Amino acid sequence: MIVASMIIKAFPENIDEVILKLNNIPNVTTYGVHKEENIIVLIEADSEDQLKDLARYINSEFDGILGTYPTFVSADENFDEEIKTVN
Amino acid sequence: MSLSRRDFLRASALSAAATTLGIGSIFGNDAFAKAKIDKTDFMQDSKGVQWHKSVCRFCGVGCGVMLGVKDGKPVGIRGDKENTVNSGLLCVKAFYLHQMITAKNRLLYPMIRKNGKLTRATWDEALDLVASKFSEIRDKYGPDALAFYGSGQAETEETYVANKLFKGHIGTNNVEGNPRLCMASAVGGYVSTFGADEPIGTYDDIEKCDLFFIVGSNTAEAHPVLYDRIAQRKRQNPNVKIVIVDPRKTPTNKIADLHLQVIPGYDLAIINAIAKILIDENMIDEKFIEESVNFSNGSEAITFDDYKKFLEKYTPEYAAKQCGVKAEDIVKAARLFGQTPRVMSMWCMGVNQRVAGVFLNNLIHNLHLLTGKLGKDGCDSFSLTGQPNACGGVREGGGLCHLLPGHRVVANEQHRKEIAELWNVPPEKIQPKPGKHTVAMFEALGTGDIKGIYILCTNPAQSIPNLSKYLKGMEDAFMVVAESFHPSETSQVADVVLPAAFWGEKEGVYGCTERRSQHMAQALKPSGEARWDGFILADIAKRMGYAENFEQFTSVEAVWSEYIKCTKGKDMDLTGATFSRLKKVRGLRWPVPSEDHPGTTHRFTEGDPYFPKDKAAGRRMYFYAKPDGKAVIFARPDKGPEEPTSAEYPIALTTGRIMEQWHTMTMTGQIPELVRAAPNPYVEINPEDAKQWGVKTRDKVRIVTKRGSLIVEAKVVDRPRKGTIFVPWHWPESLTNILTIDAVDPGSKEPEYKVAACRVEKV
Repeated sequence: MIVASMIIKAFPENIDEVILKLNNIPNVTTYGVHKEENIIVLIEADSEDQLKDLARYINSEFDGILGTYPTFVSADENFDEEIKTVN
Repeated sequence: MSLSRRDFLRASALSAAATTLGIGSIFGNDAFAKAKIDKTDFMQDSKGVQWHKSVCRFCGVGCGVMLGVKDGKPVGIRGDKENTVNSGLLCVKAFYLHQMITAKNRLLYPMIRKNGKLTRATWDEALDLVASKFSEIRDKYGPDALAFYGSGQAETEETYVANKLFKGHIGTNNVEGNPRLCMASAVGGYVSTFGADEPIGTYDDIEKCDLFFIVGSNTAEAHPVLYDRIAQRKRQNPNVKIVIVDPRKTPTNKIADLHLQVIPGYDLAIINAIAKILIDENMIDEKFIEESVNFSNGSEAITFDDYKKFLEKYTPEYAAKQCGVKAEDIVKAARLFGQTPRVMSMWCMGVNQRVAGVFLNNLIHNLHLLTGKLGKDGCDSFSLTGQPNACGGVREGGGLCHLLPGHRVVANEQHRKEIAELWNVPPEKIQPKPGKHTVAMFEALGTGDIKGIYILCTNPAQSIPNLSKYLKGMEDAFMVVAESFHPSETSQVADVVLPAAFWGEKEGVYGCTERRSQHMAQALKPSGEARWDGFILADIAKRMGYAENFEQFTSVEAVWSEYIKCTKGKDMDLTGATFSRLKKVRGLRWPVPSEDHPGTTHRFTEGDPYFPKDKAAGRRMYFYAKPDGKAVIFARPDKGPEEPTSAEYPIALTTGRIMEQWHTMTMTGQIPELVRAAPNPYVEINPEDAKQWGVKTRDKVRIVTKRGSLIVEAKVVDRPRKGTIFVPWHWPESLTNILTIDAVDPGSKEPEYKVAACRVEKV
């Protein structure tokens, strides 16, 4: 499991449409619009491959997007099973 | 209760995004409530991760990056919110940074060619071989039979050690680097116009600028974080305008108000026409011109009236005909430039990689000198850089055949004396004549004039223009390649391959586009037997008999500390940027002459510590690198490309990058996903041309130039103008540079990658 966050900057007039489309993509969750044009997006991908495919898809196929800017990406694909401690 | 690993990563990711946007903590924020992450648990789990301050390994913007490490392994990358270059934002290339550290094709041990095959060797075997072979060549054929070819991706300290070894001890000026292929024309432009290399302003000007004049740059894809800053400026101030001059429509056009889609190689006429309109319509700053500008035709001084006469030919109609754009659009661009109070010009390879690259740089500077839009908030003539340390290591560190550290030149006797003293060698050890520039250097490998070469962190067997001409020379010479990855097109024909520590495995300094030097921390141990390039070079120096002047290099800091002594009192003074200070701050912009100096926002004016108020005598700007403090407006004719289109080769070929790949894929080619993302070499073809040729997307086409041919896949897209094709140059299995021309700008010696004549045939 790869977890990454991105800020997607969209033209304010397109932002509702962009969010709607983002929320239809599996493994992508949006966390609100901030400062008019910034959508915080969390991507939980099965692999680096999927992460990049998603990022590329969003960047190239969405109208109304000004740019996609990663802010965090995890580096280990094998973390999902590591549940540390419970109670 | 502790978090699952997934929850921890989700919280880290959201936290990084929230911090970047300055919206405070994700905890208690309604927007993040659905993440359902407990702050106490998150803080507890965060304890084991150490975040190390660094700088992105890719382009020249200089974005701050934090590399997260836990238990000796990289666990995450995040943008550095505290770094004012990017304020936490990264571009999509950040997704690849950590993967490259642990890529499968990392070179882990030295190799020596034996019986035609590269085989594993010990460090002692490899370095003894290099030192003995280099010594033998030096003694038998003289120092100029050796050469060094470095990189704008190498750290400043690495280039410094190489420069000291080759120029100061072996005694050859055959020291070059791949910035010759991308930035040399910008250097030529700055030095000839202003007397000193590198921009006058900084990124701070972006947030104060009202017109961005972008020439030959796809900023959105090549420098996305700067593009975002420009887009933000425009969004917050709708009156801000953006004018683009470029043969292609690119994603940067999304924010453009006016695009002059020129015929490749003919845009000089446009800039001269804009200058003419500025003068004719009285949109110039006569006081500034009177006080701070001289005029020249390139060989002698001329008057302002001579210059006006020179411009008479450049009517909008003439320029429009030359460039294939509308005359009224040129007038519009000129009026925007003249009437907008604060203007920044920005350009990149589309300007530099030309036989008229220096001329075009001069012409862009002319517009700013005519209007006085320089050296004040929101104004600059600002060259963008393609590599992370082309400015810091090679331009400032003196890593080209005519340079010495600290913006010095080998041709200047005083400069040689100063550096010889610092290097503890006799002044006569440094030759006064420049060595061979890059294309000449690789030509000399073919003729046998150069018999041994050390190549550091770059891949010339893919990146040199007119490649077929130079490959045999690389095979025949004794070639040493220090690299982090193997095989590359170059390493696989080398005689010795040395494993170099990669980004994150070494500390050092990168200097970016805006004169900012930034420290990168070492976060990890080098992979396998890899070593820091500076230590490898110092070790070779010792084995060649130069131990006395290299044994002090026991740390990266020791090299940096010696280097910054070279800059004392120079226009690029870094003596206040000590290693310990750089570790604490997010970079410093030179000149920074003392440890209590904050760095410089604008050069040659108030606030620049070297601005000579007495000499300036009331002038707003004093270009102190020129004898009389005046910059030069050049009357430069509209020189076209070396190889215009013809009946036999009727199409203009341009080359460049795409977003998913970087340079020769030595790094990005290690990522299988990226290779799959753009698996096939392709050519962009304008739909009108495609229709005429009967070509559809995914058809195979053959591109033929006078130098060779290549079969690639067609991508029919309304990006290049009709009569122009665009070919990315990344794929090693499809060497685009077989097609390109090796003609160079006579001043900068930079090759014309951006224009060649070709024909296209459907296969």
